[in-house]
Amino acid sequence: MKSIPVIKTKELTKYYGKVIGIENINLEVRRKEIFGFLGPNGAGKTTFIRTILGLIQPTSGIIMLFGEKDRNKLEIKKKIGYLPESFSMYEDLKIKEMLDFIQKFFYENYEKNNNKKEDLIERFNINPSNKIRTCSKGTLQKIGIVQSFMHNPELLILDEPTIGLDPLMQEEFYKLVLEENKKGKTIFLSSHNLNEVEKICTRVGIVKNGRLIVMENIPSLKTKKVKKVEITFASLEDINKLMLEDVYNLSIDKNKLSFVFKGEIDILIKKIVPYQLIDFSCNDPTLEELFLEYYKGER
Amino acid sequence: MFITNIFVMFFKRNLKLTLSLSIGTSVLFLWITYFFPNLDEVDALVFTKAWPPLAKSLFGDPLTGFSTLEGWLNLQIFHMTIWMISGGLISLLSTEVITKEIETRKIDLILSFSLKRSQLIVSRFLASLVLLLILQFFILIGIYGGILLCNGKFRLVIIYAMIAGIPLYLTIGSITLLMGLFFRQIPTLVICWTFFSISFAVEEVFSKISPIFSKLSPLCLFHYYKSGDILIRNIFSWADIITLLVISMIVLIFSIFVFREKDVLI
Repeated sequence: MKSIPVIKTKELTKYYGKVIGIENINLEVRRKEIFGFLGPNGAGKTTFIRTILGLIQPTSGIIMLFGEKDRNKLEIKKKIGYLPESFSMYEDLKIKEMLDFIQKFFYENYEKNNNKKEDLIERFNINPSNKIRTCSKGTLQKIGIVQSFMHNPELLILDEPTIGLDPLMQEEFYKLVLEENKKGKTIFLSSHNLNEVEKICTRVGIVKNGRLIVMENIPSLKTKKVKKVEITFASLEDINKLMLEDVYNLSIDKNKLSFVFKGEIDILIKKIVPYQLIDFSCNDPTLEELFLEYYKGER
Repeated sequence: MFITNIFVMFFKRNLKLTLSLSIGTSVLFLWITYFFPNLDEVDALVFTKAWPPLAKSLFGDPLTGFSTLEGWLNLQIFHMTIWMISGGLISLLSTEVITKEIETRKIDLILSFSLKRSQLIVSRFLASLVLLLILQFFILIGIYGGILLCNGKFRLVIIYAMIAGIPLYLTIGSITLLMGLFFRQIPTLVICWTFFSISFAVEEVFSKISPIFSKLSPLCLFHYYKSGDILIRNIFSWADIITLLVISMIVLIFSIFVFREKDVLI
């Protein structure tokens, strides 16, 4: 029997006046999956999350959490751990006081998981006796992660969770997500970082201008991975001789050739080896570039 | 409807502010009460002649104001100062309930917890009420201290006047809470206090000048809090208290209703 999706939206639309927040989003997040919600800033990721959490009302469409239409039911809320995009708390409190305050809302969950908070505090190297006002942005983000995981929720909704974290802590966070997923938790992770999503997610939805333009498994997304390439040739004639395939948005500026390449980078390098080069750079495109250059061509 | 955790946290976080204001107000009111001039009526009459009727209406008649303790307390404390301080506190606390949370982007996290929006408002508003009562207690201590220092007698009407004020402050608080759902903290306070000031001016000044304004008088909040009647003339109106309580409850329920489905835009 097919299990009920943890998150399901049908034609979900939110307008802020005449401005589109999200439009016609049909999405299903299955139980026990790590779903990456990818998009540049302002694409509608946070609007989508805030709509499904009931913080803003949809203009139209249907939202179902754990198969229930009433997403404000307390039983549903207890199953969710949420890390907001800009996590902030009462500056005058100590970290411990704040976490204890949050803990009380999920009392029943804590009965079964009473050491989880302490374990997470230790794992993320947080000093609970520090005042929140003295915390750096990174520490605040770590507290946000702890509070969202500590009551052992079935569904974790994480909005840009690694912003402000140093690389070590980012790795620790990825490990935690994978561990929790193994224990059966469903994770909905919003990010503008392609690599992050590739690293831990099983499926990804890409949102652009409020619309869900792609929903794919990570392996199939990887085959579509593209690179932004810039080559400066010693001679302009060499550029004319070069025969390239799988390139998009090609531009020539004097001796410099710029394009977005989709395919095996090894093939590209072999093709340019016979020519004399002054400079060569090959980078991951930003998401913005990925959308503007690659998806524009695709759709 | 009530969540202890929310109540305690709100109370705890605003206790310092309330205690600071309470102690300051208590000392101020002790000082004011202590300086009761206790003039005989003949001297007070000289003052009365010098005061225009409008000023008497606005600040209290100096005839009683300088010759009886109750009149003095009405003139100096209950007529204006006490509601400005108590109303100011509850107004500020009311903007902390939702408005400030939205402004500082803490609301997303709070509303993701297993609680209803109505529970958040009710629990925090009740905490505001308790903080307001702490302020009233300190005010009472200050006044009582002042009376003791000037060898006066404490009278129950002072407590009645304080009790009659509480529904007024609750109304001020609930109106601020409602407005705070639509505006940010500072604009909310500016709009509400402009409204309260106009309401006070209509009741105490304009209604005495123009018959048109006198018809508007029942629409003013301050029409239902007459400290002079209680302190000087010993008239205690339950109807006024109930009217203000009903208004504050209606506004509070309406705020809950509005916030229940409102988009929380950050």
